[in-house]
Amino acid sequence: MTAKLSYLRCEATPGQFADEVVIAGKDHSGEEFSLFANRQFVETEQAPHEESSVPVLLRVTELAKDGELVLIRLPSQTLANGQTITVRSEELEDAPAWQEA
Amino acid sequence: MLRLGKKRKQKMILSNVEIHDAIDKKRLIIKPEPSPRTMGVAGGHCPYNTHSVDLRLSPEIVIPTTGKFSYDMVQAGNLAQLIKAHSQTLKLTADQPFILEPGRFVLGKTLEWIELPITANCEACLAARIEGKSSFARLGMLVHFTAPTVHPDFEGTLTLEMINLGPASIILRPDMYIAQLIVEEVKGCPNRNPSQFQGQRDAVGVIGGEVARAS
Repeated sequence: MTAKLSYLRCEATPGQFADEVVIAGKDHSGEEFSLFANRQFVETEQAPHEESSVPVLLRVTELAKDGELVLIRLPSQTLANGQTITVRSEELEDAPAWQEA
Repeated sequence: MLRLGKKRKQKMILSNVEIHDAIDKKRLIIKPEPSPRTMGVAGGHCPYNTHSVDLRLSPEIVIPTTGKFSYDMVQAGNLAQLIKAHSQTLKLTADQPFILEPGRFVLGKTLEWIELPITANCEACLAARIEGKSSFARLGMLVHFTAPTVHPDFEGTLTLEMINLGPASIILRPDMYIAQLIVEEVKGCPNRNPSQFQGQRDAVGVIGGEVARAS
């Protein structure tokens, strides 16, 4: 399988540095993961703010696929589990929907 | 100059000349590009050493705050948010630098954005290491003390974990040369995922009960 660019549905709030965000998402088993990512890797309709998280699409690379499970590489390391995780394919998009219109 | 033939194919740390070549060929991207490439007769700081390039400190630093809590790296949940919630970000200026007191730990990052692309034909893939500078070491300051490797395919600024282990305060100013990047060629074409499985828990990075491989 050739590595493929994709977008993972996540939630984001501002990060420690001005150009980063805190990303929160769920892996295939429903377990939450989190990471700091540069804003360059995030597509969103509204800027993340401190009050509550906003939905974002995180740019990821698909590495392998098996049915509904997709192995992806995140743009940076998660706090607890490295940079590669498995998610459900339904959580991935080929491109941000608001860019297609 | 004997640079061609078999010798040319050896993988090793890049000299300043080879770093310039890698930048020109977009195998190494550093934005903004460090300059000047050579020292002029007028003097000044040239960021290129014999086999490394100096990087500067971004104006932002992050100060972890204290409190009655502990970090559990294997707990479920939004650990990044917890870390963020217990930190304070400062923006330094030339007039308002940060005084790093003895024993104090802060996060910084490089001003420069680094990219080490893996090209389609995977020719001469690069990796790098971020290291401190000897001048800071003499003062007792660690600029970067964990996981110095910058992997092939990396894109981003480099986070610096800075701690002052010396007896005197050290003043941190934006744009100051704070670290050095050592660039090296990787032998062979890296698989994009295998090392990142190491140390992970069972549920992550695994498909069908077996470690998946990109192919």
